Amino acid sequence: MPSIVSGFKTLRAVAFVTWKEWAAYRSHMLLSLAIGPAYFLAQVFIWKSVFAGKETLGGLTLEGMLLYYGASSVIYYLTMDFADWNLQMLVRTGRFLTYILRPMSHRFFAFSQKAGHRMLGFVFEFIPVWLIFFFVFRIPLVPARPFWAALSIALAFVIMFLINYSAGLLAFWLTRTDGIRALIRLLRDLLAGVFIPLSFFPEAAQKILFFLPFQFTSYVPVRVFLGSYDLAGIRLEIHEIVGLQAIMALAMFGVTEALWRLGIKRFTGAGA
Amino acid sequence: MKNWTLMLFIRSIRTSFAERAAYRGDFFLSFAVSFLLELVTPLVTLLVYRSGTSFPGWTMEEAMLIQAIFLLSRGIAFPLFFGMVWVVFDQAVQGSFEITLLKPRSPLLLTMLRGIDIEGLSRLLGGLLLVALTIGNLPKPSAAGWLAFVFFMPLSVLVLFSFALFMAGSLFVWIGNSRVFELLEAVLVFSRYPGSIYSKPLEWALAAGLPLSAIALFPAEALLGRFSAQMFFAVPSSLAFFALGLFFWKSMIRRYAGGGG
Repeated sequence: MPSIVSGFKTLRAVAFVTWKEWAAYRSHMLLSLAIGPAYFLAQVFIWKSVFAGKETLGGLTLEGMLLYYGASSVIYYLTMDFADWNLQMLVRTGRFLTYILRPMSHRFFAFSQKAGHRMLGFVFEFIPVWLIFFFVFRIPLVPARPFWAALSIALAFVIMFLINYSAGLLAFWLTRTDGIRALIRLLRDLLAGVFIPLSFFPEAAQKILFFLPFQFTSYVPVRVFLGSYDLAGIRLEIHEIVGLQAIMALAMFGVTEALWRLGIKRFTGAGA
Repeated sequence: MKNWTLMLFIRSIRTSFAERAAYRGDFFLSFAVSFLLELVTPLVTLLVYRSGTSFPGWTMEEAMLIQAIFLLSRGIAFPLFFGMVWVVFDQAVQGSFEITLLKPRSPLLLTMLRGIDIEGLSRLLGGLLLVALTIGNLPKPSAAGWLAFVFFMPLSVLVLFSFALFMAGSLFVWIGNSRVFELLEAVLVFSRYPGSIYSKPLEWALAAGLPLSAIALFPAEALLGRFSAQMFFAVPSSLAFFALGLFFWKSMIRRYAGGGG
């Protein structure tokens, strides 16, 4: 119990410092007020035109499709991070040395940084964009089941971090990881349903996607937000898919732990 | 004078190769990923058409042609011009742009040459491949179509270059804002799809206002033999957009304060 309390205090302290640090760049975050709605406006035009004369596509109505993209857009502001970039930069420049000398795990430190960064994102990105969707596009982004939606978004937050952190850990082997990180990012977003709902993929592909961690970063929280889940012909209750999401978070924690144990042996501190 | 510029250009390409050769594996992977990233939009189009629907008035091959030309145009513009955005980004953050200003050449030329990014050439190769594939599946373009295409392609690259000028210029004042590329992508998404999906006023705005349709839609329509009044209006608006970009760059460079570091 005392370790949980002290862990929470550490998280709060690091998150607060990160908040202060990034608050200096809040005008950069405010760009999301243009970026998010611009993407969404394009989606409105695209889907309104392809839905002409069609009731449903990929298992979604036009209204459902717009809600999907709207929810996907705002949930991204709560879950995004760049732990991969940060970690590879520290390893490549040797600055990581200072972190392994500290009395806390770097993974927890990076996670706490993400918490602070996303709290700022909540204020400067999530809320304003949510309001734009509500008042300008008339898209009421209200979760069908708030508790499960919040839990699912929290788990997506963790899984996104663990996927990115794993990508960053590859720097122990490759030093420069721009290419592999870009590839992982591409696969992550494509296979998470960021560009198009996963129900548009061929049936065989959907079956594979069901077992990969990527859907849990976007497709699952969005579908939980909307109140129903199905993929590859598998229809699950909300609590079942959120339970699977929790299992995937644990599995990804195991992956980062294994990569860390193998990778740290290769760290030489070169460049420090 | 021209020889010096050419020599600088060749040296910049060689330096860019040498820099990336230090991490060859990463370079080849980045090279491939740049191309794969660009295939996302055609993939979405493929999935949309596969689900039994379409963009009004456009077959899948025709819609793909727009996206192939978009890739081709980016494949030219990104390696040549968009690296300069990162150059200004870095030098403005470090406060070292003075070094560029002190050199006896145009700062714009030097920044552009310093930013040459050979990784982006994969987009060019991908664009050429995709254009060849899609044209192969369409009726042969007429001579007039090819002529119009040859006219519109440089215009397309010019519009993208103008965006690079706006982005790089903004970073002299908006120090360290790495999100300008996200903003660009959000704007460019409107140039990847057939004009018929937009409302009429927006269709006109994308031709005669902010000439996003000149990037891929009009070159594709030229090849398909579809000519419209909007294409005509896109010519002066593209040139005006470029002039504005140049003016913006020059105005912003004067405001550079060298306060980084």
